[in-house]
Amino acid sequence: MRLKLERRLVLTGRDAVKISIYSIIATFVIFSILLMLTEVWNEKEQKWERVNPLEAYKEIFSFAFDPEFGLGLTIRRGMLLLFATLAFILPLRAGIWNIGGEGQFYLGTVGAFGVAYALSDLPSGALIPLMLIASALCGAGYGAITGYLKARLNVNEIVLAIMLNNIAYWLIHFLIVGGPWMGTAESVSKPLPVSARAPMIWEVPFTIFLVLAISVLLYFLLTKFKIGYQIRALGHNPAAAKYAGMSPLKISLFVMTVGGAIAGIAAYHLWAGDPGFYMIPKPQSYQQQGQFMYYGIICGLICVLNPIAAIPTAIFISGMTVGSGTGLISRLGLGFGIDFAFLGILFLTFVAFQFFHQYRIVRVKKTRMR
Amino acid sequence: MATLFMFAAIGELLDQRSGVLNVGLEGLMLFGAASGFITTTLTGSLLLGFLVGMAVGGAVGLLHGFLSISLRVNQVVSGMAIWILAFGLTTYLANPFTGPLPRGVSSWRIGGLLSPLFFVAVALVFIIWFILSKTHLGLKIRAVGEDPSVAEASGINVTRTRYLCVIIGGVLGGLSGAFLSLTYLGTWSHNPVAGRGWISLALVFFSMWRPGLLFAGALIFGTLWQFALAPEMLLPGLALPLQFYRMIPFAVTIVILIVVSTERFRKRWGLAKPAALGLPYVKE
Repeated sequence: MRLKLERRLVLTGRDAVKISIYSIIATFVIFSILLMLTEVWNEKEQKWERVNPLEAYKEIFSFAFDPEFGLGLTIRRGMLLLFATLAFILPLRAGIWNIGGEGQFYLGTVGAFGVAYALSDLPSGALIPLMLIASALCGAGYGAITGYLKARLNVNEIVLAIMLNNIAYWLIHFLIVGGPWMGTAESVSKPLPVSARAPMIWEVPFTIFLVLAISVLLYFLLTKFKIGYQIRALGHNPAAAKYAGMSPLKISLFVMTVGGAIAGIAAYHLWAGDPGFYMIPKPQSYQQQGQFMYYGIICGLICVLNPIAAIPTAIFISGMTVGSGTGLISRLGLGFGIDFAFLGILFLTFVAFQFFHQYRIVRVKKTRMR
Repeated sequence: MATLFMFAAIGELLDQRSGVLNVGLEGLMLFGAASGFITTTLTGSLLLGFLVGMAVGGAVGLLHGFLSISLRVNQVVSGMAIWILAFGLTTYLANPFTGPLPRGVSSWRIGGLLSPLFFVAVALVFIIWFILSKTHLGLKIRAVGEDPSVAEASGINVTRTRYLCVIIGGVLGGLSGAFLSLTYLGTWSHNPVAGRGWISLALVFFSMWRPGLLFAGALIFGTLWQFALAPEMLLPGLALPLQFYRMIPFAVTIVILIVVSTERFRKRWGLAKPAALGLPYVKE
C-alpha cells in the first residue's frame, strides 16, 4: 500500500469543513512550539521558566469561556469579528476582496460619533437608530468607492482598499487629535452622551441580535434569491455571468455597499456598545481596534464563506484572541502581541491546508502487474 | 525614503515578471525590519542586522514560493497570510525591543542625509532592468510570466525560475525592511512599516512593470512621503492640519491607480503586464 496525490474534481462542503478543522488542529501544534520557546519570569520561585503549552491552552480556554472572566468579552468581540467576517464574505462571493473593512469601520465610527455629538439631546430610542443608520451609510459609501472602481476600471481592489484604510485612519486621527472632537485630555475624544449607550443584555450590547439576523439574512440572500445567485455566478465565472446578461457593475456595487454597511455598523457595536470605550482613549487604540477587521478575512476563509458557519468560527477565534491576548498575558505574563502571533500562524497554516482543497491523498493498493 | 521603495518594489517587480504576485510585500518588510533590528540590538553590528534581515526576507519569500508555486494556493490568499503572520509574529517577538537602537551603532550616512544604500538601490534597479531586457535569464523569466506552459515546452524549468525570482524578491523586501528600521527610523515601535509595503506594491502596478518607470515612481513617492511627514519644510505657513498631509501619499496612489487602470492607458502602455500574473502553474 502506498499514498498518492489525486486531483479533486469537486470539493464537498463536508470536506471543506474537515480541512478547516484539521488546519486548526495543526495550528495548535505549531503554536505550542512557539509557546515552548518562550520563557516567562516566575515570581514565586524567582527564575525564568519555559511555558508548558498544555497549561497555556488550559489557561486560554478557562479564561476565554469562563463567565467570571472573559466570556463577556469573548462574545462581544466575537460579534465584532462576525461583523468583520460578514463584511468580508459577501464581496468575496462575488470575487471581490474586501480588505477595506478597517477603513469602512473608521468611517462608520465617524458617522456614529458625528450623529451622537450633533444630536446629543435626543432620547436613546431615536438617537441609537440614527447612529446605526449613519454608521451604516458612511461605511457603505466608503465600500461603494472600491466596488465601483473595481467593476468599472478593474483597479486592484486590495491596494485600493489599503490606501483607503490609511486615509480613513488619518481622518480619525485628525478628528481626535487637534480636531473638532478633541476631548479634555490630549488624544482623548469627547465622551459620548449617555443616551447613545447601547442597551446591554448581560455584558453584551443589543447589536448581537442585529449581527445574528444579518448572518441569517445573508444566508438566505445568497441561497434563495436572484441577486444571491447572480453574486455567486459572478464569483465563479465573471465572463459567463456577463454573457448571461448580469451587470458586474451593479453586483459589485451591491456587495461592496452592503459589506461596507456591515463593517460600518461594527463601529457602533464596538465603540458605543462596549462599556470600556464610551470615549476613545487614544487614536492609536483606534488603529489597534480597526485591525480587528482583518480578523474577518481569516474567519471568512476558515468558515468557507458561509454566513451561518461564520457564527461559531467568529466565537472560536474571538475566544482564542481573548484567551491568549488577555488571559495568557495577565496570568502567565507573556508578552504583548501573542494573540496576533496566534492569528498569523492560524492564517498561514490554513492557507497551507488549502492545498487539500484541490488535491487529496488517497491510498492505493499495490497491484501486481502480469 | 526612495531607497526603501526602490528595494521593495524592484524585488516585487521581478516576482511579478515571473508571474508570481506577492501581496505580502508589507509582511516581507516587517520581517526584515524586525529581524534586522533585533540582530543589531543584540550584536551591535549593523552589517549583521542587514544580512539577517535579507536572509529572513529570503526565507519568507521562499515560504510564499512554496505555498503559491508548489502547493498552488491562491497567491492573494498566501500573500495576505504572510502579511498577517508577519504582523503577528513581529508584534510579539520584537515588542521587548521597542525603543531606539543601542548607542554606538552609527547608521551609514553620507553628508548626514543620504545613505550609501541609495546608490546600491539605484544600481540594483539598473541591474534588474539589464537582466530582464538584455539577458537570456531575463527572457526566461519573462517567458515564464507570460505563458508558463509554452515556456515549459521550450525547455525552461518554470518552477525553478519562479522560485529564483520569489527568493530574490524576498531578499530585497527584507533588505528594504532592514533599511527602514536600521537606517531610516533607527527605532522600533508597533507596526513600523505602516503602509509603505503596500505603496511599494502599488508602485509596481504604476510602473507598468518597467524598471525605469519604477525608479522614477520611487523617487516621486519618496519625496511625497517625506513631504507628508514634514510639510512645513517646503510650504512654511500652510495651515492645514498635519493629518491631511499624511493622507497625501495614499490619496495620490489612488489617483494614479485609477489613471493607469483606464482602458486607454492600459491598451497603450500596459503591454508589459505579465499575462500569467497571479495564476499558479499546473503541469498536466
